[in-house]
Amino acid sequence: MGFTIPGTYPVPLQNQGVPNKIRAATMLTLLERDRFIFSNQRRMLTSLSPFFTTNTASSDTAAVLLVHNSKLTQNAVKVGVFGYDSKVDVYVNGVSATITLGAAPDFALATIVPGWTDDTWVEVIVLVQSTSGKGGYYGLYILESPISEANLP
Amino acid sequence: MAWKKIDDAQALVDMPYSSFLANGLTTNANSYNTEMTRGGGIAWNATYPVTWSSYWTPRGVMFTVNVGQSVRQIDFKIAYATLTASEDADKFQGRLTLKNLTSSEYVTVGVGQTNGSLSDLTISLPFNAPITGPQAFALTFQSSKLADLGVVNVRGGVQNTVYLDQSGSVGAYVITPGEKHELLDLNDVSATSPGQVDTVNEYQINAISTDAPNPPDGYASVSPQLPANPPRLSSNYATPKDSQAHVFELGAFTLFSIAYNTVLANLGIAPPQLSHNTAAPLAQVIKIQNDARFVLQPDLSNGASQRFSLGAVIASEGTFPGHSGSDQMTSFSFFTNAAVDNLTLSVTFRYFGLRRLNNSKIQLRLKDEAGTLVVPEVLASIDIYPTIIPESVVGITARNWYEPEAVAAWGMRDSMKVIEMLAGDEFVVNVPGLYLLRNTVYTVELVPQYLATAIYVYNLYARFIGPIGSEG
Repeated sequence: MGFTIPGTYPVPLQNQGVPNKIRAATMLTLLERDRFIFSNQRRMLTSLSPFFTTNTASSDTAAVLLVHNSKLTQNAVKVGVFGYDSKVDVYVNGVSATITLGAAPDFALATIVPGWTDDTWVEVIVLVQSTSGKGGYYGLYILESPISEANLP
Repeated sequence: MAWKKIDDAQALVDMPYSSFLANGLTTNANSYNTEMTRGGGIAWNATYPVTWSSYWTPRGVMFTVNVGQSVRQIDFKIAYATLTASEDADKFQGRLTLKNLTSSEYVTVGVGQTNGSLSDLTISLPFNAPITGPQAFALTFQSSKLADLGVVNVRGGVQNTVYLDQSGSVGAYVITPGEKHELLDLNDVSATSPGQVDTVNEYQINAISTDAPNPPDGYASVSPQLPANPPRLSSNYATPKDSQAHVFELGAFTLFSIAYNTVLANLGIAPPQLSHNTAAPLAQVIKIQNDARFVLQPDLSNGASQRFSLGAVIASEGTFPGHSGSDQMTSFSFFTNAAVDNLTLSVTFRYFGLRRLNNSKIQLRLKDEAGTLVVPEVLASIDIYPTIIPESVVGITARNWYEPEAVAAWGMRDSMKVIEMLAGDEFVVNVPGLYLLRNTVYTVELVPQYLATAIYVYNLYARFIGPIGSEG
């Protein structure tokens, strides 16, 4: 039994054929679009402004916020960051990922499994320490991971 | 949960669709608003946080978020701190107001003291009529008049400056330099100038300088500006009109983050599929899907900020001597859960400048993980105007307009009254026809070009929309 989430949004329907009849292929497109939207359009938890520091001895706190997750999540978030010469610690619901950025430009994607309860407020903390005397990021983005086929309700 | 899987094995090529499938699809589409509610958070620099106070009018920050579809109520979570443990008669440091700038609906709540510790409060904002998509809000704070800090000798004043001398009285106010969140109360000054209309007797002290020449012992930078011939004060230090005034502490609010969560929304309106071979009702489902593809798309950015600031000053290279490239642009990063096919990146912000400058350019650079341009730099024309209500400029200038590394130096910071937020010009730049990979980090940089000035950017908002002219 096939059940997949398409990788891209299925092409919008242009012609439904004979009036008052919809072919199964058209119906399938609508079904795939439905899954695509529900699986992928998850919450952006935050998108942080540039943060740079000269502190090499310890971490500076770049951001502290409480965010509310979705009603149904994959219990996973992804963190994307673009910057240089820094160690970035991201805590989501107390679970952390450490990202090390090297010489400019550098980037990283990290996954955190926050062990959270769906549909609740959770704390996000971001710490940044320079590794060279001047480092940080141009942007840091946290997005809920898409719902997998197995976890769709 | 209303949304359910519908197995595609039941839809085979050339079969007429079944009412089972259509009904399931309709139920799913109608549940988007309530099952896929939106949320997220905007955070400011927590190491160099922005703290402000405002006695006469509520002042604060403007921000835009995508609330979702047909939304009836949003809960906001504000992470904050107050500088001290002082409280007014209602046990507050001041009042926060959260306002939807489209519907003008708002809620005001008291802000309890945290004595410097991080805390949070929740504000629920209901809507009489449902709202959809990107919505602009204002979060403003108005300070309470708190503890009496003592008396000070007032020797005169002119424009934004009041001359202060240290009093020798017991419990006198101690003049120290730096950023202040205080109120100068002239009501007890006995010698009102004859013949003058005595309207304003309370002035917010935003900073005190003790730099020479002395006397006086201190120069207090106040708001509002003194009238030309101020009652109770002399413009000449040598001929003071009177002596002692009281200084009070003001409630001071440090903003760490604003988060939102849509808690109530109307269901979609596609009708039930009562017949298995009637195509017309599915047209509404198709419309809901098309709308949802964009309205429920995660935001890419909800703000631009710098240390000690609610917004960001950006300047072209060479505009000021200390320019270090990355610090004087603003940027944000993002990635997607799914490939981007023929979508438009849309970036919107409000801004004002120091002076008028027509037909300048803003450069938008979309870079990939290697720092390479994904598409050619987008140069968009921009006309720059000074804000018509320049109060916030004082705060930016105190921080040093061109130097984002500068320390805090103005008690109101760059917070704005709502009317001032709306007075800034709005700028939109679109990058159409993008094809981007999923799980790939992209970065957007915004830099002014060919400018001999800088602009203050606030209320930045970025998202994907459909191909220009085709958004559902």
